[in-house]
Amino acid sequence: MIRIRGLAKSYGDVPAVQDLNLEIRKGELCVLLGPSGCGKSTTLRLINRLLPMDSGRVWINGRDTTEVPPDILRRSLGYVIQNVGLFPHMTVFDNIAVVPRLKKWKKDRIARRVEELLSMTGLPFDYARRYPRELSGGEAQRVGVARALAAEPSVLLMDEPFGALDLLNRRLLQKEFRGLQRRLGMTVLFVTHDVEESLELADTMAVMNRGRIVQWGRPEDFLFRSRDPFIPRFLGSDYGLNLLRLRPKEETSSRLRILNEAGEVLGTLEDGGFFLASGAGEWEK
Amino acid sequence: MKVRPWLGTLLLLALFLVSIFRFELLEALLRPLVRTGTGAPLRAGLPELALQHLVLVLLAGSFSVLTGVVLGFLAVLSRGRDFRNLLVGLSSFTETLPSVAVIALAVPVLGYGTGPTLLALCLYGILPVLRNTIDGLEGVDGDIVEAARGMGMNEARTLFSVRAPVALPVILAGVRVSLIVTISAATLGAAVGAGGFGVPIVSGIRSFDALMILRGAVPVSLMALFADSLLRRAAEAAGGWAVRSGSL
Repeated sequence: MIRIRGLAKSYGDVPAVQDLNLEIRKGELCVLLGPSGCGKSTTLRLINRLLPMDSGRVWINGRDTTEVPPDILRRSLGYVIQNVGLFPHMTVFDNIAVVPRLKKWKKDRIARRVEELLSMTGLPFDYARRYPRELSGGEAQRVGVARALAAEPSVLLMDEPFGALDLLNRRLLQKEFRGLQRRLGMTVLFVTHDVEESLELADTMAVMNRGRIVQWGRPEDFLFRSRDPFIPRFLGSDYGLNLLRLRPKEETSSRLRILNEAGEVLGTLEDGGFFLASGAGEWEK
Repeated sequence: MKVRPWLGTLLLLALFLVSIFRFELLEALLRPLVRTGTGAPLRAGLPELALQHLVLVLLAGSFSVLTGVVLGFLAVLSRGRDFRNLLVGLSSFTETLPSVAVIALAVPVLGYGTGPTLLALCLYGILPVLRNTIDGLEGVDGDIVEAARGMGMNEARTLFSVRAPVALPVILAGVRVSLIVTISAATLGAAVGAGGFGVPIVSGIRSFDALMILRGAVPVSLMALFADSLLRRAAEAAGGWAVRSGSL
């Protein structure tokens, strides 16, 4: 569980994050969504203390993050970045084993864990001996995720982890990661600027702009209750359709009417599937 | 390990040994090409000069490499910002000093012989090592450093188990340049009585004897080529991951 209260950070006179409050429950995947430069990556780096915060407090599993030395804190938080940052001089095995070794795990426990993680992330076991340069972008990011999960972190922080991948690989890894996150019940804070990615993954979604969280809630909530004009502008006019297309059915209520900004009905979502209002005003499955 | 690249290294070593122990074999080839003089013969034989040269190079070289690497590591620490800028400034300044002048100016202080020569050699030998160490360590991809810090490595650990191995090929390239510079610059020591391959070169210049100059110049060049080749092989072995994964 992550609880953030009044988090703030400025670079000189320029505020990067202002009075940020957020709560992520155990096993929940929260997406921090916003345009580039809105402060979402800074927020992640404040949580794992790669950056010192100006003010505010962060609790992880009830413990204030400033109570532990930063290096020890970070070993308990998985961290995945866009360009992966695998160590080029280490094999895949050694890359995944970094944090377990920092935590002084026994050799055979590390070996078992690496094997387990490779199969979890869909990589063949003989990849353990490969070097990062011998991997494709998708494979490298699978290793990046495996490395972050290696020492069973209580929380996973992900900074646009799939942003550098081609569309096909991105969608594939998103789906797989979503499944993995569900299965393991991981608590995740996931940063992205991609609305579709957010819909694919989010339990809850916090939309950020200019260092502040503009709105926070379930993806469905953004459709009807956007308090700020920034929300519809950023999410786009096809947000409703994307929501229907990308959200698993059981997660939305059984009967949902989708309206556009003018209040016209675009379609409904019912138990049997979703129905779009066609141009002629007829219903189409 | 591949054998073929090492053959070239061995060949250079063999040629170097021939040039100091059996120079007359080379002399037969060179005599028709150059002007020979009637200057006095060398008092010391080439093997003895080779030993003097080698001692100069090993002393100055090991000091330069050690000092350059240590200073370079200290300079890239987050607390070493000012120190880094000072070092980089100093090294640019040192480079502008002519080495002959350094040797000549050091004679009154350090006396005649190896002292001033070693001083000059160390001064110039440190520069390439220092520069490549700083450049190499600072040039490590920011994402890699971010990942290391983000996973809970402290600064020292990030430096030694991530930045240093990634920068090793660049650092070793600096060591290579430093040793080559030291080997050739050590000939200047002959002017102040430090011995080495500079002796036949100086005496050849005095007596207009090109063959005598070659007696010093050929072994020095071969020694430098051999050292260069040896360190290239070492760099390949040390940066094996880079070779295997295609970045070298």
